[in-house]
Amino acid sequence: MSRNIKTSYAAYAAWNVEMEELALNRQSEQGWQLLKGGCFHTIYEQDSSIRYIHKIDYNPDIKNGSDEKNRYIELFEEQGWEYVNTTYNGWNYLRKKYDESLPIGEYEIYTDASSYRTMMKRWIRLGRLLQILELIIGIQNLIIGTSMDSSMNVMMSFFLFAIVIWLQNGISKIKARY
Amino acid sequence: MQPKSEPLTESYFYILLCMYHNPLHGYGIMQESLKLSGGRVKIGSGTMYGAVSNMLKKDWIREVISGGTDEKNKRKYELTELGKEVLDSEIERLRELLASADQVIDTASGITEEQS
Repeated sequence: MSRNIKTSYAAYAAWNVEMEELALNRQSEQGWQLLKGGCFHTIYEQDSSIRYIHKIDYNPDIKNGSDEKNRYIELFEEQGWEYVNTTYNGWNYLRKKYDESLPIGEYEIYTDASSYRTMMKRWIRLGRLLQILELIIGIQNLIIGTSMDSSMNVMMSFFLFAIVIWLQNGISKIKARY
Repeated sequence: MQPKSEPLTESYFYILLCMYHNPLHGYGIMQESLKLSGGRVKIGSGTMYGAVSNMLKKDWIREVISGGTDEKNKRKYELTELGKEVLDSEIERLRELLASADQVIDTASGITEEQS
């Protein structure tokens, strides 16, 4: 019995979660079901007999084998969601069978603005940490580069500063939306 | 200790309220909230998990694992003494808001106190 499997290397930033969810939904509609989700590496399996709607939830507190993970999965399965997998950096992939008779509300996992904002704040905290880290290493590289006349280090510092700005852009986008 | 009288979101309010008399599974909380609110407040799984884990941390609720003959030992949650206090405080706060509204606005005729 052979399984038809394909891999996608499409990458999505944390502030484009909805885009990734839409892509997963589209794939499912075309008969490609999610086997394992990830930021840069997504695996699909061919199965045209079913169609799912997907949600990606940021929650790094769900560790393998923990009580919290069981609690999490239970609260989702109770409402018809199927837990697919969790990435190393805390993104949980969930899916629910598509049923056109169900109202769109059945496919939402965050049903009030406050809880959604709380979830996004968790990621923003990580984003801020990354910004600080990149900034520190960037400044270090700039100092090394200018004092030792090393263009490599100077270029590295600008690259890191660019990442800081890119992250800031993403964080602002998230804040603006919610 | 006086619990913080910070307003609760509707989801939080309904979650605590549903557990007032007996422990419930997450699904039971969702169904009960939906019923009590006339179909308006539906608590999704992400919101529910966030609220439940937060309330467990704050000791407003505790877990009750139904041990025994269940194949699946599904979790039930119940109010703690503190949780009940928080809910009671919130209900008091809401009553005060409504009483203020009644004071200022004569809801029967829509006339404010100043005009009457």
